[in-house]
Amino acid sequence: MTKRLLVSVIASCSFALGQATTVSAQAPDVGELYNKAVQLVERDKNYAAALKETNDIIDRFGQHAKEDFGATFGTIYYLKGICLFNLKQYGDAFVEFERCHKEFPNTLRPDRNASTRANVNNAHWRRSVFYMAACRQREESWGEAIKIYDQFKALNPERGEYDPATLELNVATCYINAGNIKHGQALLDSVIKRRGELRAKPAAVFTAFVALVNGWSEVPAESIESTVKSAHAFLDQNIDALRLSAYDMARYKFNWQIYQGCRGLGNTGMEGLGWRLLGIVPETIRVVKDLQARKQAFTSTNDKLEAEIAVYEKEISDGNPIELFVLLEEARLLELRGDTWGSFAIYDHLAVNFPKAKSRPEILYNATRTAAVIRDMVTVQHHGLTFLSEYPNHKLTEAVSALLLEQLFFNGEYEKCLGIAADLRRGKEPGAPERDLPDFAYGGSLFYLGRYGEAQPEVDLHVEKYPGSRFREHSLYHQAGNLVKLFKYPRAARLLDDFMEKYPESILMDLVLYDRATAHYGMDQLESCVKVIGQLKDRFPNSAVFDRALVLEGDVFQLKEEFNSARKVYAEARAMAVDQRHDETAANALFQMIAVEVAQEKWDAAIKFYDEFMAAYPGSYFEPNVIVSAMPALEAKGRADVALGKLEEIIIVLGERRDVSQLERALASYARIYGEKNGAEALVRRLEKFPNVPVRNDLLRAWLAVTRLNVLEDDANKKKFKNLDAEIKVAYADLKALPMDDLSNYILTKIGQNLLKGGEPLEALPWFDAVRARPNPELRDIATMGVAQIKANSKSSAMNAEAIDLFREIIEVYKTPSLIPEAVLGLGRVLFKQDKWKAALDDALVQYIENKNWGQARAEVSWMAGRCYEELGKGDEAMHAYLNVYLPYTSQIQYSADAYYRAASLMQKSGKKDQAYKTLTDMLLRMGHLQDSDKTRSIAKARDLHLTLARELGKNAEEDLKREKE
Amino acid sequence: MRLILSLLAAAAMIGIFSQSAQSADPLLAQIKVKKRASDNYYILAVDSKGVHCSKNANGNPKTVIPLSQIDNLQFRMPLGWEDAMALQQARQYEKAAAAFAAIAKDYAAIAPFVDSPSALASYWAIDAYRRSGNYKEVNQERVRAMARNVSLSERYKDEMEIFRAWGHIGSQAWKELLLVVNDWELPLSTSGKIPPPATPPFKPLPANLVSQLAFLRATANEHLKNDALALVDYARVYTVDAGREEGLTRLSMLGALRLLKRHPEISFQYTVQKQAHALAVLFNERFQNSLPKEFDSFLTPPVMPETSADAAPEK
Repeated sequence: MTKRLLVSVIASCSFALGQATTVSAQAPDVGELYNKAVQLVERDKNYAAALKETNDIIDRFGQHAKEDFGATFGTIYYLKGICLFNLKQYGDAFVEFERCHKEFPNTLRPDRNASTRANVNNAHWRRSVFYMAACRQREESWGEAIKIYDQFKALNPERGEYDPATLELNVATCYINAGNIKHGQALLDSVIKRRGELRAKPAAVFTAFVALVNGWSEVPAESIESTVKSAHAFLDQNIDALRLSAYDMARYKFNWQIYQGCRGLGNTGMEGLGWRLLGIVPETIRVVKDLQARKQAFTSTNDKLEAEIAVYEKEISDGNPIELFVLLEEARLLELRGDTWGSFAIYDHLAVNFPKAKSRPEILYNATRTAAVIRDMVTVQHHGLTFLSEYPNHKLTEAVSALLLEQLFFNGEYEKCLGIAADLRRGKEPGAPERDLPDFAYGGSLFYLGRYGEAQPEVDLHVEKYPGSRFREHSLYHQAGNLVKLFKYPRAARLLDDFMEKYPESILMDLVLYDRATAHYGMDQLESCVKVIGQLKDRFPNSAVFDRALVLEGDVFQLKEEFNSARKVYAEARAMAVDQRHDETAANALFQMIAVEVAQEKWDAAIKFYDEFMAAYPGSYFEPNVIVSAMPALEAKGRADVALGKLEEIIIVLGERRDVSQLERALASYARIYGEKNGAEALVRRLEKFPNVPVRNDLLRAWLAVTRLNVLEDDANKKKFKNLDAEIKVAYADLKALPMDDLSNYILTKIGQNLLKGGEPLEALPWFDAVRARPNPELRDIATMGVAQIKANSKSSAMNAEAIDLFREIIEVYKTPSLIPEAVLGLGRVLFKQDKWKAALDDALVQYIENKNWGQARAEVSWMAGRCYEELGKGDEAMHAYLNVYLPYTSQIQYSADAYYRAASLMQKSGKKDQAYKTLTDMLLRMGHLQDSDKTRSIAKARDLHLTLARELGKNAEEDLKREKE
Repeated sequence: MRLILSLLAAAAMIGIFSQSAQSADPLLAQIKVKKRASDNYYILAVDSKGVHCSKNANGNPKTVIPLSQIDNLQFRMPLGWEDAMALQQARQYEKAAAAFAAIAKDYAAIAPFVDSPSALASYWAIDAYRRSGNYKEVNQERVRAMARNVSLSERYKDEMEIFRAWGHIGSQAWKELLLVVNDWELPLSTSGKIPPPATPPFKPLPANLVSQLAFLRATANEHLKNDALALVDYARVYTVDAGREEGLTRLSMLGALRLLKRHPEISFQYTVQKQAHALAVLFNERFQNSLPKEFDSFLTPPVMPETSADAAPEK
């Protein structure tokens, strides 16, 4: 319904009644009232007030209107209908329009006697039918509306009475909304084709088109295919004609209506159609440019246009203009269709160009997700890490982390993986589905970072907890490969064999074969090793570990002293590694080539390779080994001093790098070579005054002192030093003078043990405690043992109690095999000391006794066990324990003497006096000659008891002893 | 005063006027001189002295209104303008280009006036040549426009610069093309904790220009065998501007289909197969079943592989 039509309709109405009122004597105010109502509608758009006026006219003149005014009065009802229509009271409006049409036909004339001489037609008699239809259309009674529109057409309205384009567009819209898309679309198509002739307003046409778009999205499933086809054909024909200016699209809200329509199309499987239609919606910048062009047409400023420009510019600067929603919908539609690249391109574009979008987290998440699907790993990281930095606590953070983690892992970003995986699995139980990926990535990252000790429990756990994991293949490889790195070859070999059977076509197979060959080599299965390397070479000629496999093959030949073959494959490996820039493997191959030449005493060749190595790989992992390995050749060629000098330089460099493991290796090599060449004492002096040690490098000083101590404490060197003890004492004093933080766990433990051994337990405590306090678990078990022993020997019962806990920690937590016997013994001793007889037996002594190969304290342990049984009233068990002391360990007099005496006492108490007497006789024959001491106090007691029993049994103790002795 | 005086380079102007022959009747324009009412003049030429004009179509007598005295100047568009624009809107780009090029040439004397009919005709001629795929003419028309010292307002500046890149397609200078496109990319930081994306984003521009730049970069990368980068850029072309420019949408979808056909994983990767199928179907739907035969196989929906859950259980 157009405004222009309404205005023209009312204007003609005004004329009709105006004519009537000018001639009416009885109702001089009808015209006035009517004109007032018309003004309220036309000029003021105040429909409520106009309605009041029309009601007033009807109240005052309606009762005899037919008689007084004839058909003309129908215009009053028509005007009332217009007011109600504009007040959206369509039902009431319909009644008024119907009354106008039915009760005031143009055949109705006023009575002859009527004072009015109004004798004009009802100008709206036909037009009111049009409005009746429009009312039904607004009430969405599409079928009835169509019927009434047909009635209107049947009345043959004149051209000036209606707008044919509006009528046709309304009918088309009704058909579309009634579900007859085909007919409605055809009607719209017809209007568009005749738009010039019909003078159809573009906005009115577009309104009908919006209805059509919505109609397309509501067709039944079986019609979708034909609808899509017909819709595209319609668009091919009409899309250019439909196009409105950007500003019109925006100001009439058509852009949002089309956007909504496209959502509907996407929801009903018409994504392609929706995608095409989204292109109709102009960008907001186009709206601004359209307005600016309109502004240019004016020579003076136009405030309304300026205000409009400001509105749309603000939409852009606020960061959430309509194109953002259009692009989001486009991404959704394309992804529904399977076009992930298209969807990704949109999210990627939005992430860069709409930083203020309210949906930015979702945009970044989807950019990350779709980048992962199309395997654009670098961009996954870009958007994923941007998300995490901007939204660390968003509900999608975990999902982004998971996406990112997988991409980072398979892209080799293992350090980053560790942090993200740790965050992801926090608070979740092992075995929970959401821990599958983080646990896999965590263990795998440790493996690839070379942190093998930490990696093993992680990869084992993943294999155990996630048998159905999609990462299982990789996880099983990590488990087996890591065992190879930990030199646990038998188990690794079993797992690798299982892997090869389960995944014969695995993409990891070259790595698996290399590890399997390594495991064979580690178990001295040299033929099998070569065989597996052969498989790797045949099946994976382009493998990244091919060069490493060749080095391993060379190692086998070298071990078998097949030096020519070894030389050949090492050279091949070296060339390949150089070509592929595998520096470590190239250096290793060259190192082995030196070893091969040295083994054959081919000094010139060895020196040549040595020089090549030093030129190509200075400071490499293998450099100290190379110097050590090449030393015979260097000595033969008079270059040993130079090589040792080089080694001294390396030691300084490693000290500066704080690379403790390499430093320890280099120092050990250096000490051996220098010692062999110059003697132990010269070595110690050199270590005392090692050249070029940086002033503040206490770590290096510490390791030089430790190396010195190792030389001094070596039994082979005992006789090579005049004041060995003093030298050792000075070396330890040098160590103790260094800051504790710079000393490794090994050095701290060594100092603690030295102090403990020197009878200074309280001084030893802080050194052990320092090791125990560090996060690095190396030697924590040994330090704990040191602390436990110190506290066990204390007179403080509180410290004894602490010792019990520490011994239990060693036994139950560290489980270090070499420490367990000592820990069990320590535990037994403390419990015994505290009179905890049963606990001493159950937790320590019985276990110690049952492990026949444990230590030198068996006499003491059996004696303590006897004492415990005795205290617990278990005479037989006590007797048995004492027998296990005095029979096998008679010479350990401090235990055997008391065991003899206590056994005899038990016999006496149980009435076996003869047996007790014989036992004591035997004891005194063996020990009676010993002088009194703390250890032999029981012998004196045994003499007294022996005399007592002799008296009771009527025997002569002295004679019996003499006779037995003879 | 909407004239941009700086755009008038006096030295160049003299050269142009000595070369260019005005072959059409002078254009009528309404000029508002300061403190005076608007009046109609026939415009003969524009140079650093001002607007050379006359009250009569025959050019006599001639007056020169200094540019600094002009508040507003509105040209009446020349004959043939509406026809040229109709051809452009009817997507008859070759014909439209020729029509605009003729207008640009006929009124070359006023080309240095900002957004004059001649200057605008140059812009539309180049754009029409671009849309028609005649990239050599894009370059040549650009050169002609520069020779005429065409002056266009800020709103055309970016697009005129991008037209320069289109010329490189005509000469198949792929590396040079990439260099020109690189100027429109956002500088990427490689020092931060966040690595840059694989394909650099473009500077903030209207979507139709982003779409053009993406197409240019994709085309260069396709020819330089950087397929992965090209594929993402072709997808950018038909998406970031919501497929508004049909010709570019069509070309980019075909480009993506070509790359998918030679994608190393097309024979076994479901995601890639699904992508190819989606594009082929969308193309046919959008462009009246005109998918080239070489991509027919993509119309068959790919078979989704069994998931790990469906696979044989572990022993």
